[in-house]
Amino acid sequence: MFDPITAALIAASPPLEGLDLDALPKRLTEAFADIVAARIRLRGEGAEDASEMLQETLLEVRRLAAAHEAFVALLPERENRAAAAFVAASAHQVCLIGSIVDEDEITQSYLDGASVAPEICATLLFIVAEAHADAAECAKRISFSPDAGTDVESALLTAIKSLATGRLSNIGQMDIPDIDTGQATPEQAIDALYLELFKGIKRLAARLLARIDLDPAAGGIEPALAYFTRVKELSVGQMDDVLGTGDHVYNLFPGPLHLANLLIAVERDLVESALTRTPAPQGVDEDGWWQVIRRMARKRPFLWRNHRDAIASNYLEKGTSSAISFPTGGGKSTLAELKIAASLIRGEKVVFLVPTHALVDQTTRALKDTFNTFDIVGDVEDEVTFSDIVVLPEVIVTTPERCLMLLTTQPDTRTSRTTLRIFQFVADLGKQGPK
Amino acid sequence: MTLILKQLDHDNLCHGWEWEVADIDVLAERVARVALGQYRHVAQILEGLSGAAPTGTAQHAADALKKLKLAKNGDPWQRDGWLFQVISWIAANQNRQEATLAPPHIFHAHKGFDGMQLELSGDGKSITAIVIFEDKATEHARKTIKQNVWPDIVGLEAGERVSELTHEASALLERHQHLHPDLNIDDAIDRILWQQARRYRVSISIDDKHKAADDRKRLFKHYDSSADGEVARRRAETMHFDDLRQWMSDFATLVENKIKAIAHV
Repeated sequence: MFDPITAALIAASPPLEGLDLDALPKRLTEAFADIVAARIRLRGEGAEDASEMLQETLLEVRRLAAAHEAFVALLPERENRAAAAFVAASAHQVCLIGSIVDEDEITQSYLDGASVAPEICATLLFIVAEAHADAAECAKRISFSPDAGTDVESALLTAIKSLATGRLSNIGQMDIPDIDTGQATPEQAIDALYLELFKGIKRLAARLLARIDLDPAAGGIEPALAYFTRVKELSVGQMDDVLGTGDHVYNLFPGPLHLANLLIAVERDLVESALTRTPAPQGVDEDGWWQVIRRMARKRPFLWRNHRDAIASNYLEKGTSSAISFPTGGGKSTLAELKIAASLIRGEKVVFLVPTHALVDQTTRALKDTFNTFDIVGDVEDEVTFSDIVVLPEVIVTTPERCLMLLTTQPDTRTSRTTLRIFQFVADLGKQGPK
Repeated sequence: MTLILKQLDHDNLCHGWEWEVADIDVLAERVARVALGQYRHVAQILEGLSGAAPTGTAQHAADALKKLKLAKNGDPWQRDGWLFQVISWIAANQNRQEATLAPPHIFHAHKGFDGMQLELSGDGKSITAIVIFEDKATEHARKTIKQNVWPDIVGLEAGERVSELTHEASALLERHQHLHPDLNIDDAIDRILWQQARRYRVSISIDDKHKAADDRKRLFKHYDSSADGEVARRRAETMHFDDLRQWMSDFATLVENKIKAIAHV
């Protein structure tokens, strides 16, 4: 279930009494399998045994989720926060799969004065762990119905979902709900605390889409951290000496406090992973670069850890050849688009090779969307002799066979090859050896 | 002394205290100050975040007095429940030895516990357990214990409501660390959330039926099978009322008067 890098991340999480960290990736995988198996058995014979096994596994995984979530919330600056966050979120996910819900019952993911629904916490914890694909998947579990909660709750849940799925401009477009400040009830206070967190997420989204941080005094955005910190401070109220003993007594709103703590942990590292903050590679015009990456950021605003590793290894620089292998959903497209962007802005031409005809169309469409000011041609027609493509477009998407034909029948393209960036973009076709 | 706490243990079944009012006037004043303090906190939040105009004690008092009003249908259980929770919190404080606990929630929550307390080691430097409160103001003590409290505890033991527990315990731990910066927070998390060092404190109103020691013991029958392990895990507290609803109604009036007196309204 976990690749070696993720398994190493899990094993680096904070220690717990009697828990073998090296065996933890395996244990989480087993728990996941146990729960899926138990759920299948619950529908048939042996339901009682299955239910007992499910309970035991759930109990252990819940304890794991609880402890690691608290590690992150209480010490958001700890070095192993990403590891703790990933373990907490994965454990939550196992529990969410295992919890039996009545499918007819439409329930809103709860946010109240005391607590916050686990699917909300797990989504944010995945973001802290920079596991963006998992965060987007987990965000699907956040549900709300406009009738069930306040406008503020709906807005906040929508914003968290959008943050996790990378739809940052949607957050920017959301209106700020009104709250009734005429009444000083605890429920109004809770709404006000959650509204402040929503405003903070709006600031965070705006910052993630911006090229640089401007000082708020110079027209920049007030940091999201200021909003989250205000909620953290205001969720705790010191009371007078109500007991007459001189002891400190505090009134608490644990739900908003906890969400503020998680958002502080989210904010801490997220800007570093913003695509918009990727500096232009050498020899690439800054403004041209910005025009492309800001467009890319509308769909995929975050650079994952593997993307950042590649960029740090000069992947985007001219003359660097790379062989890249990621699993499905591992983020190859983002890296490919970045490399294409750097090449196009340098004035180079791109040949993008894909293994099947079907992928030519799909890839062409995706590239046209990102590089809308460039000339992109998908080429699959086997019968054409290239007489009409003497001048190559800025990007041509084609198959290796067509490319070979192009190179042998069009001498002009060969001579211009020094200006081409050639991509061999091979999706996993599976093992085709003898069975 | 606000309450007199009389120790009453029932062998291996449970241990705990019986509360008696020492000074009803002081008790009412403490409850009034809790209500005022909580509404002052609400006002601070609204002033701090939504630009509501600053309010004074008179306004906090007016808001707090609403908390003591009966529900629209005249049902007293919500008000009485909250009053009983505050009394339970005062009793826990009188007996707490350095532990940290927050007053009962004033908000209507779908989730959340009646109360929670961090239990400390003898030197006060580390956390040994978390205590979960179940506070019940009822005229049907045994039925409530059997039908509500035990199933709740069995559920908690089986891992239900872990998220709520995590969030409330985290808030308490954060407060405790603020007061005691040398607290080893990782160790505390390990103990109370991973190893589940967890205790229960069931507090309930009783009438003459459960006043005698043997009857009181019978009230808590099956506590040990709901939460097994050492007897320290099972705390049982009672407060006797001749007529619960009447007492609460009179007490609410007393608290209202205290609120008005403190706020000079």
